[in-house]
Amino acid sequence: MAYVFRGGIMFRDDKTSRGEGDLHRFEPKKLVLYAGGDLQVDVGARVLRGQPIAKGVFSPVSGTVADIADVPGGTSVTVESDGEGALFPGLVKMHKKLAECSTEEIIGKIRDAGIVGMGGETGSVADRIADVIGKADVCIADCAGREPYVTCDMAALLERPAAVINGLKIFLRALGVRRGVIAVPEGSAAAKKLTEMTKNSGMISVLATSRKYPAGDERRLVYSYTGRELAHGADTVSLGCVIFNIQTCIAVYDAFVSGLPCVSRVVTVGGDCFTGEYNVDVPIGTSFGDLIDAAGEMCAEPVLMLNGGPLRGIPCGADGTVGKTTRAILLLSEKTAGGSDTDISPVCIRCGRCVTHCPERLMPNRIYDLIRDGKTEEAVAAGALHCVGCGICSYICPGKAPVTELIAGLKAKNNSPEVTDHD
Amino acid sequence: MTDREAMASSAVHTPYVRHADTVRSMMFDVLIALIPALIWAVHSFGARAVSIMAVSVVSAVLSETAFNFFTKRRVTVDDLSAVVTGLLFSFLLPVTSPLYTALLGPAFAILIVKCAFGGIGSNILNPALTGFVFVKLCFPSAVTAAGDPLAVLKTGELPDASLFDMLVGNIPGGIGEVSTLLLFAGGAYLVVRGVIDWRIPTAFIGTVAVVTLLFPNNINGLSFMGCELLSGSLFLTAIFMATDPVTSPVTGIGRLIFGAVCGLLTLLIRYFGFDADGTAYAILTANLLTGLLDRVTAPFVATANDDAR
Ligand code: SF4
Ligand code: SF4
Repeated sequence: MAYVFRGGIMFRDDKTSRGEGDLHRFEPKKLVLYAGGDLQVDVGARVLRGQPIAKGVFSPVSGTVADIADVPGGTSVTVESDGEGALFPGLVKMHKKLAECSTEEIIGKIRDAGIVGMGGETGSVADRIADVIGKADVCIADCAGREPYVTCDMAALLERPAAVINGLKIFLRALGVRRGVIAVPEGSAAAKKLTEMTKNSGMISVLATSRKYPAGDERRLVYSYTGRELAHGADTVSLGCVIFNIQTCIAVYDAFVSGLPCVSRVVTVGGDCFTGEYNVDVPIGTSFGDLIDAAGEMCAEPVLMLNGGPLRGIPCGADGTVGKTTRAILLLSEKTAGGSDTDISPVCIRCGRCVTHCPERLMPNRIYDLIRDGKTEEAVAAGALHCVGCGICSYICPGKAPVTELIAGLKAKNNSPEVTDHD
Repeated sequence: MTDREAMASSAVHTPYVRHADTVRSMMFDVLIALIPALIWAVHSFGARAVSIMAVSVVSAVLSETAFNFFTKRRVTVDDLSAVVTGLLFSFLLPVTSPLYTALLGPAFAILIVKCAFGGIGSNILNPALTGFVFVKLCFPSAVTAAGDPLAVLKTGELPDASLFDMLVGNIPGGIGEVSTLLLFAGGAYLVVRGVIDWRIPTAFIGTVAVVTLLFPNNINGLSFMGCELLSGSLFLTAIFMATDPVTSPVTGIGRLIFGAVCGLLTLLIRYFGFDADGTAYAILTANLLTGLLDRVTAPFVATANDDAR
């Protein structure tokens, strides 16, 4: 059992929010990929699944390059799929046994496959491994996220538990670490299944984390495992932990055994406009619009579309495309999203709920008051920059005070870095 | 990382969903919790109790509406907090109180104590209690119940009423304060619904229980404690007024201390003070300590490496 962190909040936990339903598969006719530059293909060229298109960018399908256009910060490549899924012959799998691979070989493989942290923490996984070698003593595969509706990690884990375990073993080997932990919410089907699968493994075990949100944020995760609080702004490795999302583990495993680079991921299409949960394995580059059409009938009129969860997501449009870090596309109806801008004039009635639930032990109500009074220095002294932006204070507030919003504004002004959140 | 992703990750993350609870829903829960005691008030004090409650509520609501109208503010009575203030105020009045007290008290509470300080969330003192103290100071005899067990107790004798009568509410007193059992039921409902924190009433009533048991004033300890707990406005004020979120601390420890302070001050007044009851003065005094308690019990402690950043 894991240590239970302070604060947080228990969201709805029923069978429509556990990621235990079927994992669907979907391949659109057309995908759009974004590359930094140095294109290796031209318009009209035939590309195969796994074929490099630019540095770190690979075609997720077989088909033809239909269009290349300049976009801010790079180039967009439109690929029309032929639906055959023919593999690029140049893919090389790792020929050696894991025990015989050197750290450099594994890092090289991961770098070639263009794998980034898939839990929302962008950044090259190969670089991360290189950074923390020799400093970590445990590697955590994270499936602990508890943001409402977002169940993509759980669905991916239940679909391919062996790939997660083996992917984690590759990380252990590369890091030279002897302890691997798979963090899953306690009581979940995955927790049972994985406990069963890892019971004879000396290196890998299951960490049954709290079912409260934000159990998947790295500060909570480190606490769940070590029982110690990460110092403000510190790297998780300062307490010996290095965390990778479970979908990252799967991508690493695939790159290892088949040479297939990171070309697809599991995404949740959900929100209260759908009756059930819908997790789908899609190629990178699929447009959000196609994804929503694939998810089927909606039961309510959406008023808000989010890329990410309802607490930490950002509004997006149907023309957006799935990237390596896209976790969920949510459609929220008036009933749910309307709460964020009702005609109630916001007020703090000092009920203390935000204080009870803030995972960072802050007094959000006080910080809110101070910011509103223009006393930013006092707000900082009250710990405003320690806020991880979990959103709980705004969510829970009966007076509908925009607490998180004001604190986020202050942090932006103070150039405080975003805290990586796997939740 | 492409620019697109960079843009996405630098955007401000804020929640797009909100908990269903609102100020209005919480106040509505408070009203629900007051219904049993309200029914008892009508049952035992009759039609006059109804008119006292009605006048109080109407006075509170009209005062707030008028204030908002004349200061050109948004109408705020729809959050039901004025209704709660009016009703709670009326619960403290004995059935013999003249109706003008039911008119003046809530008006004072809303206009001077709440609105003049900036409306809900900004007042420092609990409005209903301040309103009560106001009428009590202006018309002391009019709002004092004849034969109040606490007044008898203060003379050093046990009142005639049995503890059972005090529990159910067969005693003189404020129309809504006598039915201890029903008030407790309402409090339990509010705790379960998460509207109030158990800490304040528990610390408050617990302090009174322990101290009265230890210092029974030369009367049989248990009976003395029973009378102190079950008669007077202790349960009403501990459950419904001391827990007023606006005027009580936000931290758990702060609330425990706050409750204990309320209990001690109440007893100080009951043992040595001029008033037989004293809860109203005790809570209002403790209200003034709220800011201090919040500050000294703040859960956040800056760590050493804060400075390093
Ligand atoms: S958003 Fe910040 S202040 Fe609000 S609950 Fe989360 S960590 Fe605390
Ligand atoms: S939850 Fe809202 S009303 Fe309650 S103390 Fe926090 S900011 Fe104030």
